Amino acid sequence: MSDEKIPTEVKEGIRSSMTRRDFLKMSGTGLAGAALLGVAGCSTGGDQQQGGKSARTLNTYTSQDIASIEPTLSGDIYGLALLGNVMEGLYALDVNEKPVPGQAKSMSISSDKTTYTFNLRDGIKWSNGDPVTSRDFKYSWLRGINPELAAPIYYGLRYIKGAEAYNSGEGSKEDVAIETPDDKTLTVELASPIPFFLNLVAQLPIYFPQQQSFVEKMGEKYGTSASTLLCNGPFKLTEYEPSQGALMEKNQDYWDKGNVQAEKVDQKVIQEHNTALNLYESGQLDQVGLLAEDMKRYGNSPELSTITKFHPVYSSFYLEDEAMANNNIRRALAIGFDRETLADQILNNGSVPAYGIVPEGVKGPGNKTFREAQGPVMESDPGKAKQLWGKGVEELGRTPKLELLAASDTTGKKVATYMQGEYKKNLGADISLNLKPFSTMFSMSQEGNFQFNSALGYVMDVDDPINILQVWTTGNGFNYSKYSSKEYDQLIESASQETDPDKRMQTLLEAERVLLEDTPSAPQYHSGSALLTKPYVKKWPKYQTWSTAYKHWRLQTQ
Amino acid sequence: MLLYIARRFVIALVTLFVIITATWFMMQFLPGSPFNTTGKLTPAAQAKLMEKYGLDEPLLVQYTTYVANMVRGDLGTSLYFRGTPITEILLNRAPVSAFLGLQSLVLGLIVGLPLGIIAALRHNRTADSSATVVAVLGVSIPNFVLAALLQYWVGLKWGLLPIAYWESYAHTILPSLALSVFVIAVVARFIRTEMLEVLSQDYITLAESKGLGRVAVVVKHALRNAITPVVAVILPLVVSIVTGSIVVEQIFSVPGIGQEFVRSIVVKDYQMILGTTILYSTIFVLARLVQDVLYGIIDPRIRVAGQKE
Repeated sequence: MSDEKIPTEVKEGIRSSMTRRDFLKMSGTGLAGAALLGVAGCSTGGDQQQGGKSARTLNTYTSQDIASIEPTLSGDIYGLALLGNVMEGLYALDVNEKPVPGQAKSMSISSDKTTYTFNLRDGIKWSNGDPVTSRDFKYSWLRGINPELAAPIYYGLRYIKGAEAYNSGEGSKEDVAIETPDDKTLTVELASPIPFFLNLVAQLPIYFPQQQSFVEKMGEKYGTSASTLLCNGPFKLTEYEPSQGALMEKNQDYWDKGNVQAEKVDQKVIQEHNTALNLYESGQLDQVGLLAEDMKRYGNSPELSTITKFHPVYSSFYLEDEAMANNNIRRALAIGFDRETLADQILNNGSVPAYGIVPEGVKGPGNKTFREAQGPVMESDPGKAKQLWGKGVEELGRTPKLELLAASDTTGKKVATYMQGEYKKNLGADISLNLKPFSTMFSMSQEGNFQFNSALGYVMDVDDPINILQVWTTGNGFNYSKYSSKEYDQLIESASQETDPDKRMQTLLEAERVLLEDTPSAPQYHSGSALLTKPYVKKWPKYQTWSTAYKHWRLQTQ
Repeated sequence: MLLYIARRFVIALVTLFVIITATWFMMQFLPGSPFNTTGKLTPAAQAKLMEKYGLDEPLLVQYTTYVANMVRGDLGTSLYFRGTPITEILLNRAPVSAFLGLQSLVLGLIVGLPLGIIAALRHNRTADSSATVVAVLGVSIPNFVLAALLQYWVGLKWGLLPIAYWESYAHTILPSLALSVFVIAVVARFIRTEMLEVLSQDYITLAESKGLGRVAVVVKHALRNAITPVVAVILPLVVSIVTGSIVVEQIFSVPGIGQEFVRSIVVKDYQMILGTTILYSTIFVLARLVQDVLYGIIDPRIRVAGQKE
């Protein structure tokens, strides 16, 4: 998933047209993940501040419209996250965001780790009473690969053998390696042994089942309202209106209903950040996302918690620009600012300083995280930066005139201004800022219409380093730098084909070192999200990707 | 008179058409694609979608197709809420905004008129100065500030009315209040000025000297004459309410047109940008049309001048 464009954009659009926000500090930027929250509470307000709550209703919100809930066509994180609550794949995410059996009761993997065989549970049902069968999965997956539908998150399916050929129009549907020998068994063969396949199966709605007869009966209306969607998840969708929100009810036919506490989930759309805060304060929401500017007020609140998201944020250098093509100039810019101050003081919202591309917490070799195994690969060093800058200027024969492209929302501006100040102080360089609404900044970066940018990250889909590292392979749409290295491409490719987990991780560790040595991008921080949660919420899933799982919420009830 | 109205109507139609055309072509300059919500679409998939929505055709073809469909009442489907017809979204949301606007207007008149009248009758006394202060505040405090204050104090701190959402009648009060204060201020100021002018007329003195009571003079002679021009000021107020509600809807999570308008531009939902633009400009142009016609009725000189042109 790319940066959360819609949220930021919308706020941006509003902010740029109305200066009131700065005056009131009412709205902020959409830090990834911060905006999408599970929030519990009940609408009677007040009395549930102490003790438990009277109703088993979770009151949740999203900061933007839930644009689409069509399982194949949805591409916005709010729609995708909602689908994860009303539908379920063969695997599902547990409270620690690890994939565990969902609609499947068991699974076996071939020795070459490319063939997965799933056995479905008995008694799993659609909300219309029909049984969920392996054919529903096959139909859905093929639907996601179908080039005619241009599914926004097709990329999640491309690992299946034959998928790329069918999707590009070169192969056929029949050659996609998904088999259903009977209603309870599904076998899928992957093009390469990817270790995070079950994460994809558990998380991406494009892997959830869909009933062919229902989809075809609904036609164009499929997945546009609560009544035109079939559910098989912990909750059933009872109401849905993209700009107002969704209402969910506990699914009494769900196989694991004993582990679902909430009877209802009321998920509203609240675009105005201050409105959400007021609703939380009044007890109508039990969790609320905070923005950097709220930290003064809530920094010491016992209800505050922070999560580091799988959302690395970095600055990319456009290598086709003459000045940016210079190694020393890039290195100087990459190490010429203080990462700690940036994360801890400028942002102060759960974000952590980034000494590498792969975020904190992402899996690494053995029991270690990737970051623990790698250690810092890029550290700030103003003295050396100045030296490199001087060398770069000499090589270029002139002091380059540089412009930093950044988003004009609160965070984007804050970070860019900080970078500008650091470069002035540490390099003696005058960098001008080019602040644009997020969507424009995003397009300009993709089109190579910039020198270097700031705080344009990548929201990861799964807990695996390759998910972020593959961004810098030749021709990737998120490779803003237009970095192209045979060595790097080779490393990512061999990691994709490697079946030995440890060797694979070693290759990826090397890839990150190679990448940062070449410095097409400079890690800035790993984005975090800060939240307030009512005391009676005893447990909730602290997911690092964009998923939510109301199934795992536990409240102290009266 | 009919000719005058007909002329105004034709001008209104031409204005609308120019607005739509200008918006349509300017929209093409928006950077980025409406389909990169995940940014992970392959170029082939993007091309497929462009083709599906007819965005790969030459601009002129796209434009004529759009206009042809529009004339038939088909505004296309949303690129953002995939597949949902624009007219359906507008029809769902317009009543909400209309209710909010109308309630604000009525509230504004109910409070504004008496306030202005009292101020005029108590000219240069405490009531007058207080009314003036209210009017100045009402005009100068932006409605979004007021909305935020109302939400915080009335909604959260005092817990009197709902903080947000659009569920029961109680939910409509704060947003209406936030929008109506401007109306109150404008109407009060306007009626005060008109009343003062009327009250200084000879026929009022005559009526008073005939021995008519104060109330009779005010109601029968002064108010009737003072209130007619207010009709004309209501229409610009409608326009200001409509634009104001874009922000107020956002603050109170009201599912009206305003939210849609802003969002559509940001996510490049071309059809929705046009749909909301058409709706808004129709309201504005209609307001102007009605105003012109009303002026014509109120003041025959305008009508005559219009014909001579």
